[in-house]
Amino acid sequence: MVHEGFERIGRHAYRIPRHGAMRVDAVFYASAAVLEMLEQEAFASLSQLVNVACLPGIVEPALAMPDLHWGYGFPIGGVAAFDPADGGVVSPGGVGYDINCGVRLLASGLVEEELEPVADALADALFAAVPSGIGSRRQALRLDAAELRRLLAEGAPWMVEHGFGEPDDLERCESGGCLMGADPEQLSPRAIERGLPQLGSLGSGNHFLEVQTVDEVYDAAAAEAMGLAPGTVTVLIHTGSRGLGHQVCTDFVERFLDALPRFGFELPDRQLAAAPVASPEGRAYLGAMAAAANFAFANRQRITHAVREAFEAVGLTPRRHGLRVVYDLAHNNAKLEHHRGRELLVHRKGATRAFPPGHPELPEVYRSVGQPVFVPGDMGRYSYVLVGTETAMQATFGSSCHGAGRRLSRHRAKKLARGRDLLGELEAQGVRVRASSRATVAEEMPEAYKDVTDVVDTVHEAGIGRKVARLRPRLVIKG
Amino acid sequence: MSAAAAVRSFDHTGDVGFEVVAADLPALFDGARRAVLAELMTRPPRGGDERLALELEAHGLERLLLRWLDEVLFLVQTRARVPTGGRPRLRPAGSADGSWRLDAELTLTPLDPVAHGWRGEVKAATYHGLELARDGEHWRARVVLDV
Repeated sequence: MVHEGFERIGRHAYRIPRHGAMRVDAVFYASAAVLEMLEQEAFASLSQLVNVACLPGIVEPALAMPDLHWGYGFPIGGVAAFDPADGGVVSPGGVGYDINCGVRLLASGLVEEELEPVADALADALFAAVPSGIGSRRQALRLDAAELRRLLAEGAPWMVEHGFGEPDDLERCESGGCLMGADPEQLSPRAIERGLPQLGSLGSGNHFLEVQTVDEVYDAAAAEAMGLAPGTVTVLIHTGSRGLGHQVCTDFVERFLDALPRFGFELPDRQLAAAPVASPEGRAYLGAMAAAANFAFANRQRITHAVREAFEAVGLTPRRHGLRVVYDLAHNNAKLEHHRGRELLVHRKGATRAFPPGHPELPEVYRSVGQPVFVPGDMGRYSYVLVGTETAMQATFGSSCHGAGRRLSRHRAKKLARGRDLLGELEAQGVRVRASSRATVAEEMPEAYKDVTDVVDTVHEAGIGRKVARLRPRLVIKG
Repeated sequence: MSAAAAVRSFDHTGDVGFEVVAADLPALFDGARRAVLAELMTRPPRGGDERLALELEAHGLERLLLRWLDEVLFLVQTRARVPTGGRPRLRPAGSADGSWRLDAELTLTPLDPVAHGWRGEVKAATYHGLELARDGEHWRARVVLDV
């Protein structure tokens, strides 16, 4: 039993020693509240972490961040590094269906007092400008398949070259908004077809766009580097690669399962379908995954452009709103990175890269403070901004948490919402919501999520991230 | 024609799951189709004037079920066509590797998000906790959807 087999190794860190088919130890981070939640789910997510530790070529340890919960194959919050030179594998289940699902934060030149007079009009303008997907009357950007393939190779820079953004936007994106090695030819026709009508759309589920204000600053120097003074109006965009990325995952899980007998290893769970990084199948997936990741970067870039247009539509000129990208990061991907003197393929599924100050991959503006990390909470409370640390680099392959995690299933949330005026309750708290359906608001109600503060404090105290600022939602756009 | 399947959803903290029980495999697969439509929309339509011939093959019944559900998701979410009926037929593919075939003449109707009560997208049907097995006199399947 997993729960009898873990030991405390730090204030919030626990180790599951290697046993059975595990190739390495597993380490997870958890607060007392998260431990309680893990027990309630019969330690299912720890069993998933143990399964990850059984995969070939894994480098010690298999990891889970403090927002871990039950996922598919990998637990959400899972981090695992594989050594390609030692038979290491790549697993689509370690990236997730929504490849390069991620978060982009924009900071404006506006302060809270300037938001209130235009708040209702701005909420309406944003809802009109950013399509959510199916059922939305708003139109996403339409390309033909050949142009989409070019975009898949180029990522967010394609958008900027075509007038949807500023060159400065790209400097503050993880990997410059473009993963190298993208191979659009590895995508199935179905993946292309699914992606074509969805460029620049938010999607549904837990995806959102929020206008927020900075209400607490914990690290003045880092906050200043990001332009996050108290009261600053910000915009947080949470979305990913939409149906295109989902189809890439579906296609390659099937392809890897078909090829498994040739690879010579057993899988503890089919959703962990994997291929050696160096195999033709592994390389094909990495090329397709990078293309899907580039779709996601471009998607968030297109939405950024729509956000700027919406601000301008309510009379806030570019000079006045001054919206600029603070950072854009992925929390579902696999990347080749240098750790411990080797090139490793680091999977992060519901986890954020969190490189420390001085890391050469960081933009110059953040070189002294560390990589920004964004941790969305729920639509009623707050989200956090953190920075990466040297401890994270040493202990978690430069990784940190990505969100609050759900507390209630969607069905239970809807039951709890019955008979309540959720929109009215949120408005009384100063949060205006525009959503495609009331059902979405019910499923995504604040009580459906754990308090993100618990996750962030655990990260901060464990040293695998450092708190910079807290953001309060003011306008929420949901698909 | 056999009786319709019994479908119930079950709680899964992160996502949504459903269980289907039916007297035979065609009813089981048809029940799973209805369960997916119920996650996508509150008022799934009936009937329709369009027809689509569908053929699928996969190693094992569980993988075939996921392929079938992925087809349903693709038709609704990308082609904006709701498969309202056309019970599938299933048979062993005859090969030694345990492959199964499915063919169906689907009835389709255009998706109307407002009239059909669109609820939100589903990313995929997953292998997470996937089960499909004979249970006494019935067939039973459990599926978790990534939403």
